[in-house]
Amino acid sequence: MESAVTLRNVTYFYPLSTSPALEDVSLEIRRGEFAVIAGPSGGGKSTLVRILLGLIPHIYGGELRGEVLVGGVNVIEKGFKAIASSIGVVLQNPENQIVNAVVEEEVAFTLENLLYKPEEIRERVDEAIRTLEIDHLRKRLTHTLSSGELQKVAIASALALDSRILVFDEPLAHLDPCGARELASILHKLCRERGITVIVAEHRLAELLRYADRVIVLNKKILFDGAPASAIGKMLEAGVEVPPVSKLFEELGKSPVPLHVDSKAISVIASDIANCRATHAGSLASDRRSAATYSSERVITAEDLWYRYPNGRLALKGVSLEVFRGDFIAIVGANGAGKTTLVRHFNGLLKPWKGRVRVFGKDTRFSSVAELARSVGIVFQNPLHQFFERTVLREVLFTLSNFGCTNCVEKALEVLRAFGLEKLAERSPYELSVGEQRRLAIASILAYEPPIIVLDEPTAGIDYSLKLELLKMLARIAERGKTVIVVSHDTEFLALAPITRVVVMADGRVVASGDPREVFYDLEILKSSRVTPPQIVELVKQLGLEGACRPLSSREFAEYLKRCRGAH
Amino acid sequence: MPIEESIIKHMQSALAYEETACFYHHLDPRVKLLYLVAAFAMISSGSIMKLLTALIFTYTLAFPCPRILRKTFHVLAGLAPFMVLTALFVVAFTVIFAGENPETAALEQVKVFIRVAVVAVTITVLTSSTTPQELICALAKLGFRYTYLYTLIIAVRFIPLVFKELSDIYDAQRSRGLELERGGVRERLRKLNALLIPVFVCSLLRARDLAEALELRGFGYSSKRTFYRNLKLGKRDAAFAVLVSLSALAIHLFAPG
Repeated sequence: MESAVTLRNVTYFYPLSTSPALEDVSLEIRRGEFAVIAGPSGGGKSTLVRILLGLIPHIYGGELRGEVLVGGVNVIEKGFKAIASSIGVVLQNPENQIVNAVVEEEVAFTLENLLYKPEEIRERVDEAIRTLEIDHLRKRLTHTLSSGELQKVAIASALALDSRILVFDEPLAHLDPCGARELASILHKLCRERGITVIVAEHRLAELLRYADRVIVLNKKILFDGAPASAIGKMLEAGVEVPPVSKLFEELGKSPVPLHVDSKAISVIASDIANCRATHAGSLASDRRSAATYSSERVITAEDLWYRYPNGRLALKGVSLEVFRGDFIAIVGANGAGKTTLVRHFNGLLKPWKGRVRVFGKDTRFSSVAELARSVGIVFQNPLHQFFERTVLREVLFTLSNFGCTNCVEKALEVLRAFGLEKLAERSPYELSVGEQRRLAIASILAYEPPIIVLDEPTAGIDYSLKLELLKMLARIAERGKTVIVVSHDTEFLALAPITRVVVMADGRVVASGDPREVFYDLEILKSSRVTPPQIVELVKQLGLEGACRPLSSREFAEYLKRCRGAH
Repeated sequence: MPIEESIIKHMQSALAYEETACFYHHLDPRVKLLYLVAAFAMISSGSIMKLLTALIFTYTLAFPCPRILRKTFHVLAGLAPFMVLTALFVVAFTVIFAGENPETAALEQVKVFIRVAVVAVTITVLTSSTTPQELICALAKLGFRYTYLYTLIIAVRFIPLVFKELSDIYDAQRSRGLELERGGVRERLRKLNALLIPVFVCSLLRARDLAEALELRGFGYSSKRTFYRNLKLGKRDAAFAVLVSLSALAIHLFAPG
């Protein structure tokens, strides 16, 4: 098969850097292949994408050694202009790459720049819009579209140009699970039906791997390059997220390793537990995590809460919720379900349109944000939204001083120590890695010790090892008796967290609330709320085992299966 | 809501293109530009009667699109506090320091209100019914270079995103206990850093992404550009162009001075 992309002995140093971002990378991606580039944050995925696009070295500078061919064109010599019509790109945040106000104009933009004739542009735009099935968006304003819709527009724009290679830089980072599943299936369709080469650099692999022909595990060097099923072990070693069902098979030492819940995976596990069910049903019931670990003291109460945004959109429609001291709550739901709107009421950033919210008995309508923030600390999704001081230490001191703590250097250092940031105290927050920035954002909120901590989409755009680090951090916070509320659509992450209650939101309403083992096993509710259940839940459901045991993670299920096997 | 915030929000909504189609959506953008020029010609007069005629004319023309009319009133409502304060200040200043007759000074301010009202309705007509790209297409046909025009369009497109980011940053900092409204002037200015620096950093990152996307999408490779839309002047365009031109002329010549 003809080569779409070839890299030979590529080594790259960013300007002023003494260590390489990529080291001796050689790979060849063939036409029509679906290749996934996986690896930890800082492992060089985005750098590789920039090299493929010709942005490195032509825009970024630095020192690039080796050879890069895209569609047979030497990009290093000829520059990105030479490949503009053969390669299309979708960035992590497609909002940043959209230029025009209307979808149709955006799809036509590149063709117009490259001087295509108007009649041909119209034909190509029609064709691309038809392929992506976005005719209903054609006249829509781009700034009113969701992340998923914007991604489709960006793909349509590349298709209109008849780009034979599509490159995606973390396309799933801001999508909810249903959006991620939809995008993965679109990419698969483009690859299979139109023979387009698809290259995706991504952390979230659960939805992608099943479609991929090939996985390249990258951590400055190529650690693995081959079929996804044989990559699982290497990916686990490199700290890369793998589908939980694959992890389960690895933990059980079974092969072949499945990439999603399919009939083979079900039959392998089914034969494993064939004799187990009847004898062990009683002991399995005790696997359930206790939900009654929190006190009966209400810390937050939302009563028939309604919220209407200034543009008239009703974001909350009669939400009632009680949060108790020591609760560890996960609020799940698709993008736009009202999760973030709800938690912004907890510290008074938003005031109820109807109904009321009380925090430790105080009505938020009559309390200032500063007053409520003493009780409720919210950690927002993007750490860059809060950094402005010269040093890490000063960032923490800023929060402390806002809450009346002066001369609190010792206290700030203690918090930094607890988060492993003490050695970085005098560094600029902008010099930190993504993981360190995330830790600093949480540390600067925890520093003033609010009794309730809210984290809004804490796992968006972070890699698996950082997720595990975040889990440990949350577990420590919960152990200290704090009330923790996590807003997330990452159900695989939540399946690993010590949550006591799951609240499912859809269309501005709370549609379910209860023990995670009850709620995550109610597939009807999850489906109607556009929430995907953890993969292990899907597997157990298909095995018809939920009456006997309700594991949420691969580890829990593997332990159960091992016990089961041990008993026989 | 502070006056600055109110004005920005109202102006933002006025400048936004409307998805719903009305009479003006079907007009050639060049004709709408001509309408804007004609409206400016109408309000260049110092006569209150001529200005009132221009006001009635332009608002009558907005009637086919009630949504545009509503948006115009929304804009004027946003501008009202600023305009009233300015008018009071100017009247007081001219009466006290320049010895002007209060009635004359007030009449001048009424003329200013009328001019603003006429400009508001014509600009709202233009921006609500014309996408930025249609405008670029029209201006490119008139000889303007598209790369310069796009710079303006991109700036306009990114204004709401930057405001959204600013709002998110403000919320993030308020959640850390920042109270901008407390303290002396110097302290408040210092606190503004907590908003301005993150906005600046995030805007730079956004600009980097956009610049890369433009480079990769062939922007500026050639000094010429094609447009998939065909701008053709039809009968409706010709009729509207004649109507606004003759009306402007008629107001200039025949309206009582």
